[in-house]
Amino acid sequence: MLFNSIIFLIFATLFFAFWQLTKSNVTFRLALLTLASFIFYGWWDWRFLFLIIFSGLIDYFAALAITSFPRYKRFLLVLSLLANIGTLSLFKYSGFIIENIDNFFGTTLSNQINSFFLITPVGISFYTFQSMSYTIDVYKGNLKPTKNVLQFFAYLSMFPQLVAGPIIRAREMLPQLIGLRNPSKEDKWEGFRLIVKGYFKKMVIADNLAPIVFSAFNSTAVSENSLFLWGGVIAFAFQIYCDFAGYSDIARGLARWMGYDFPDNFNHPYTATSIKDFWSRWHISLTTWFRDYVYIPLGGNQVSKIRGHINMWITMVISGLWHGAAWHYVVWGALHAFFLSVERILKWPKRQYKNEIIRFSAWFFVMLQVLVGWVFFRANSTQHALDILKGMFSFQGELLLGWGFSGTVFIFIMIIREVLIYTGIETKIKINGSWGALFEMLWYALMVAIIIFFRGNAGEFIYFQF
Amino acid sequence: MQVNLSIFSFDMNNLKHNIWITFLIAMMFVGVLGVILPKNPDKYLKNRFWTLKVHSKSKYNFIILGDSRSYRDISPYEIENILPEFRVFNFGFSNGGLNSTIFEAADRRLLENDSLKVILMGVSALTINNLSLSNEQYLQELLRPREEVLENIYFGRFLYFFSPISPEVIKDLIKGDKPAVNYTNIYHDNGWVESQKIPSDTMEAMPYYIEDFKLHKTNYQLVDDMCDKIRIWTSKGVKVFAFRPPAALPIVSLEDSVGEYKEQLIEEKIESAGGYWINVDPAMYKTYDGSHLSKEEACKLSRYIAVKIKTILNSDYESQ
Repeated sequence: MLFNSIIFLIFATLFFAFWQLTKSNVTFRLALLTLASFIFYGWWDWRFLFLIIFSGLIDYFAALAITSFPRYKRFLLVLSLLANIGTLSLFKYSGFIIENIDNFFGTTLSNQINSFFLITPVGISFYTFQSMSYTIDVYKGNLKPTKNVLQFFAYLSMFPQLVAGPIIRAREMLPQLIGLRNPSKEDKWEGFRLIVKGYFKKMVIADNLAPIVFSAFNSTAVSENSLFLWGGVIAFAFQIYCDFAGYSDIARGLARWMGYDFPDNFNHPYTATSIKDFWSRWHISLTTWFRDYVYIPLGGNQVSKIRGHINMWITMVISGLWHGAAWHYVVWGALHAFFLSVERILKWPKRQYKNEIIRFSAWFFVMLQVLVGWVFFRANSTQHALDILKGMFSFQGELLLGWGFSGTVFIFIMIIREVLIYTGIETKIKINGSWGALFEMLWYALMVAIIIFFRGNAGEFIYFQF
Repeated sequence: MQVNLSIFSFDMNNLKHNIWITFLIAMMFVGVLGVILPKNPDKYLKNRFWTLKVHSKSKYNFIILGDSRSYRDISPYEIENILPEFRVFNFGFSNGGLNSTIFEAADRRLLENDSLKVILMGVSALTINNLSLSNEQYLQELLRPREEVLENIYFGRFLYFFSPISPEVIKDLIKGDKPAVNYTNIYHDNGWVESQKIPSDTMEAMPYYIEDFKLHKTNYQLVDDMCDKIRIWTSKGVKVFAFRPPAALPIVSLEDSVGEYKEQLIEEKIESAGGYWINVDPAMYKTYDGSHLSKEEACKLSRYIAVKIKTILNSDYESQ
């Protein structure tokens, strides 16, 4: 079920109507949330509900067993990780692994694989990571496992964030679920603001930029017009940001309406002045997940300098692979690891704040790196990405960005917004008191109308595929 | 200032954020914009039309089959005017083939208990070549996700009011720019698409037909299969009529030569299978793009065909 569909509108209306009836009973509340989440997910393909239930039950019982049988806790953790990573590998990476085996050894295994396993279940990477982190936290003693199976499944399958995050930690969410916190008026308004902003980003910006990106990346031959390719990549940068941040905003807004608090997943990543800064602003829940469950367990930077770099490269390459089962995602992860390594060696983030010109130059250079990275992310293959980059840096062709009037309007809306954030003007133009409230209500009412009349062609959220 | 509207009660001197008030203001904005902004029938009404055509469970005793030349050229309203005993449905599709997929779908839409049933087929070269076998539009619509089917059928008209618009269109509206070609389609629930294009260009479709006919010739095995189906229908009491949808004379000539369409042979095969062939003189009808008729011309053709069918049905009735 897509957030940007009529069916979801009906689903959400019914859900919140029933939610009101569960104000005083936690069990009803958890049961409703779990049931609604299963309907939400099963609407896409009910067969894959069993996968969530399987993955969830393994971690639910593994966590309980870890505390009951501490002598076997390492074994139980390995068992749980194997089951989770095995499921993920089977459904997300089996096609990729077999294709590479075929290419390398000249075999034809890909003809024998059952097509069912070539379907990547929506959001599998998100819920598997969420489920794994629960067991790991219990293993480390950072979390007490819940005995309430409804509470566990309400956490794991919570529909606002089930298919595209943000990835929520059990230690943040389980206590919220067991309490009977009902949203205040402020929570409801904040939820509304987030939902409207989310829909605006997704339906107005991302969906309207999609055709521009498509024409740059999906034409049969790569364009020889440099500026057109740059235009396509810049459009993609805003498309993926608005698509994903839009989903996160809607998810956070819906959670607020339920009385829960999801962490912020994006913090204006295109205002970053270093790649490290970029990663502290982009897909924060995933970055911190990899930091806590991959990078730090590997030793992080509390080891030798070279080992620290290796740890970072491993983390970034796995992060690339998490995004998609293809080599161009791996290259994207490795490219960011390279940028981060260079920054670390040059101690760049610490040197840059000497003056505004340096800061602006740093921002410009970071955006250049991010855009080059996005080419690998969006291209159909590594070779395709290299062809596009070759075209971009050949500086040939007409002076034509390929945005058209509409695309230019949408991209400039985003540029202006990010400039207001970057320069700090946004915080200065807030009006307080009754007039501020009135102005804000008018502003959000106008945004609702703009979403309705300036929406692009409804498309799936890009991050659903991960 | 104090405002008190039952659920909306607020004090202007101490105004707080209120979702309901915001929602109310938003609806006002939406209402005004919905009325003043131009609409795009080719998105919602068109989607609704095709989804309804394929997924509706309504049944009829007169079904028209064929490609775009049939679903644009034959108006069920005109046929019902002349043959009021029939409930007419135009079941034509773009590049729609006259083959088993469509025949089976048509069978499901025929009224079971009605003694008088009619199938009218617009037999153009494109309906009986190999390309038509894919029935692309029909199958694409048939396989449309359930969610979209519900959305198109039940919310299509509602969403039409909220037709999306681009800043480009707003710019053109402000500048007073009008499109060079005015192409309008009105989608009727009975399967007919009433269309018009101004200015008309009778050679517009020519390049497409040249490409299509070069690659795909009339397949006479498909004609024989169609005739087998006509025999089955006829044996069950269904009256089958066929005609060649009119087109601009150069396209008719191209259809004959490059498309290898032998009208005489097809007519004979259909009649020997128990069907009736209705001769249509293409010179009598003006197309707007070379192969499709505007509303007036479509109504003229529909009336002509309906009168022919009425004559044949009456003479059949008298001979019985």
